[in-house]
Amino acid sequence: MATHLGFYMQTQGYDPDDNSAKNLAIYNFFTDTLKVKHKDREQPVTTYPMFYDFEDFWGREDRSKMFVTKLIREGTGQCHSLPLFYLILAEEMNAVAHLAFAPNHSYIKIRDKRGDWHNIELTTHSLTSDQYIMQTGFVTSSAIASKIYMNPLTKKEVVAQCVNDLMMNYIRKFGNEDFILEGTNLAIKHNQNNLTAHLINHHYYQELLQHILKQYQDKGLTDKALLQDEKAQYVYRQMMGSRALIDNLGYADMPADLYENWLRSVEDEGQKQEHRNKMRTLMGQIGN
Amino acid sequence: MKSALTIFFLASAILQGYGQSEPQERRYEEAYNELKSMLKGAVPPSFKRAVFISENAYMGGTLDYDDYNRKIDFLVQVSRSTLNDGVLDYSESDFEEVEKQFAVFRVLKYPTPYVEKGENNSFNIYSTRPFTYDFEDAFGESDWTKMFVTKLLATHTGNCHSLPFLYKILAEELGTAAHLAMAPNHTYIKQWTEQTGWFNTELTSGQFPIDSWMMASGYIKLEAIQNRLYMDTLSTKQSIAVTLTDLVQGYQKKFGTNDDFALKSLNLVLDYYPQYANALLLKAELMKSRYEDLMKDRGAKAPADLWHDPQARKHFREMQDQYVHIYKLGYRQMPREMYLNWLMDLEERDTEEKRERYTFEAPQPFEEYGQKVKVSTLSKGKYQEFFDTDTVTQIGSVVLNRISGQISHFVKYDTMHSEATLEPDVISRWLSPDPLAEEFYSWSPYNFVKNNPLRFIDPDGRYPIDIITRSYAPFKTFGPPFAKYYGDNRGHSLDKNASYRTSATINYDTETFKSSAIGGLSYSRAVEAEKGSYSNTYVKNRSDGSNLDVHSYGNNADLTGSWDIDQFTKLSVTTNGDIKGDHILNITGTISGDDFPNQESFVTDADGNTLWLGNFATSVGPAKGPTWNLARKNEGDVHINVNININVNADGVFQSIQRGDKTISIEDWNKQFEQK
Repeated sequence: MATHLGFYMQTQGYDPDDNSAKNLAIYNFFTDTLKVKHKDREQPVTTYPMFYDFEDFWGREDRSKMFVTKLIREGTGQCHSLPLFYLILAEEMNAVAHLAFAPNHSYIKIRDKRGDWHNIELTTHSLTSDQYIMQTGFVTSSAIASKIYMNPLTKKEVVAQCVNDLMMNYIRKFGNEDFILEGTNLAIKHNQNNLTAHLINHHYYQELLQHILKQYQDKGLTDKALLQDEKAQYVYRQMMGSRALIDNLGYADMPADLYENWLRSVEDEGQKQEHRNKMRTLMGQIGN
Repeated sequence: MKSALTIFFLASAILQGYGQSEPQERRYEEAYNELKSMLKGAVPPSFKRAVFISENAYMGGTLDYDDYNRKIDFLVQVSRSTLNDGVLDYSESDFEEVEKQFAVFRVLKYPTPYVEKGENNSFNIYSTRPFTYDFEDAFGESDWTKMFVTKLLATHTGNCHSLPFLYKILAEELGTAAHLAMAPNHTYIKQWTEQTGWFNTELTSGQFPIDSWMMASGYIKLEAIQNRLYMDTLSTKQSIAVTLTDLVQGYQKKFGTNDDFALKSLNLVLDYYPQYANALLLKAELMKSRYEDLMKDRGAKAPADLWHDPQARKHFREMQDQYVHIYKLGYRQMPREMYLNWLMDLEERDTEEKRERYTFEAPQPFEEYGQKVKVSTLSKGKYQEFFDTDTVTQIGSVVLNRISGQISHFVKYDTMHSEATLEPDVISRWLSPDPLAEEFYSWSPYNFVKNNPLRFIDPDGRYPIDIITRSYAPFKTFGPPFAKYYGDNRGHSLDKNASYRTSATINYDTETFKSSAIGGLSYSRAVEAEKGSYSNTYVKNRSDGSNLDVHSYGNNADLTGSWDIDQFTKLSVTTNGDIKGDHILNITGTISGDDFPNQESFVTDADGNTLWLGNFATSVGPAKGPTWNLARKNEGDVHINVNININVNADGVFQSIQRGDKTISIEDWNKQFEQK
């Protein structure tokens, strides 16, 4: 793909060393159909824009829906795989681009020649203003100040996030085991305010505590015994501690009705998208 | 025009030797020292005291701290009296904190009842006067006292400086936290609840805007939030640093910008609150003013004319660094066009005429390659959502080149960019319900108050009515000999301020079919006792749309174990005809409850016209009544049947009563009930 984009830049007459030009090439690759003549090939190579996959976009039924490999294979992904693939292409082309988070969302931030930031939203094929992101994601000012959201990440911080992904995939397969703490603590080591890692930790201790309480219930143990159970107390403290950390980072749940509205709009978009996909198939059939 | 208060201030100032410059400056030095010892921790920091120190220095020491405390104490007492009144329907574990926050909000924004002792052991119930916004000179440009909490306490009008200050003071006195937060030319309150997390209280409008609205309408850059320049919660010391900055600004108004005292104070402020935009700018402007003085002394025309002198060059560089620092923190001045759009919004609210808005275009990062991309914005061009569309930008009174990071040139402070000199209407961008309402999710931390106790004054022509059901003891004293209490000593009355034992006010909006009920507060004092107690009326609002159903009850808080007086207001309220023209308001149903003491119910319109719904006089004597008729479970003894058709005009004002073909004037109608 990076080679493809190299040829694309040549044919467009873009400056091969210019960061904006490289990002423009990647942006066009994600949002447009590119028909490019490669030096060593007779036929031009055509790539198609990448679309949002509305089906199971949380990856709840099929975790691999979140994967970049799935995106490359099928040409559709979501707000997890699309920006990551963008970063991969940028890395291959020596371009500078950053990942940034919003609640349940990630997007790309780039800087222009004057040093001003721009947000690239790959799911809707557009750029967005910060105000737009803040409003649609219900981002609070304290979350911005603690830099859990809307902050351009360094490469190391992105790798730390990949560790989180690895841990979440692990949990999906094997459940909440001690191993995941190794991963999250590594992620936190490289990014103190790594919200995902803190959330994983919190859920880990929450589940563990529930497990302990259930055992007390099943075995008919008394509350007094629980009060003397230092290990249980430790788990409780860890759970509350991670909760306090998350609160301090400014993490806030979206108000329920706002979230519902958002889901509904996603559904509407999904229907439009389905329609577009069908159109594309039909056009393919009539040989366009 | 100067306010009456200012004249009062000046008059008292003159009497006490205002205008003698030396004691004045010494007073400032003393104020500085006291604030400094708070910041250093030598004395416990008190925001309440710090505000007073700053204001008193400006007033030449003529303000009375006891009086200031008395006024604050009074408001705290009234706020405290609303606690536990049962109106807040909130179930998280921080209920007590939220109730305190809510109490302060109520007492500042809405009339809140309180009781005061009158002559001859009588007790009068009054309402507090809400604090409102003073549009005139909202930034204290021509009269610095406009910013003062002492001015707010005296006149009940204030601005986005004094209102949140007073809120914070009251909250702290009541024992709950309220943080100041900064936006450009603006201060507001941030608080935390378990249910909503952080939320903003906008005292100028009484609303609770969400952060994205603050950001978009306040022209706040993302970096400014990241660097905590704006929208961050201020600590106690930071808040004290803000009052020290106020002190400096008052001082500068008296003695000029360029002064060692001002510089010393600003440096101290920045030690404790390094990212305070106001102080950073004041310091930069002070440094620039000094450089300009130097230029004037040496007859230089341009700043660069002095650079051959290493000392002057150093001064220039330090000043430049200060401005660049402010720029890097994310500070940007709002573009003039954005103000103008706001102005038009406000004008159009009153007229049909539509005017062309300035539409902001989003910058195109790939323009040089001839490609335009779609940019999604929140306001669709109505606000400027991008901050750097030019290579130069103005910070205070200098223009910076963003690329070179150097001062391009000096300008006169462009007042067009400052809110201070614009029409007062412009300030109301913080006051008005946001013009982009449909884009913004709106919420309130007190939305969960199902029995919404706030009787909203309806801006869009709806007409809310109040139905008031009260019980009162007509006797001078009542109760058995061992527990004899003062009564209300009156007959049936339509006076809203008449004293009572229990009272419920049901506010109902005839257009939205929403109702809220608020319980009253009464004072009970035993004849033998020195002091009495306040008793709450509790309300349970079980209304369903236009079918009002409110149970109000309360006992004598002064007498443990005393019986509740119960009242049930069950009324159906409907309108007949076009509500935008003359129409009929029909109220039917019953008011029932205990047959001791007396009961009365009436309805009022927005203009204050009052109509009887019914009343009941107990037949039981004062001594036996409470122990006999209240102790029994006989709460359905009284039945006041209501069936009334009121002629109402387009403005929702009561005109007369309709009885079949007969029209009865309000006066005649009410007379019937007084004769009963």
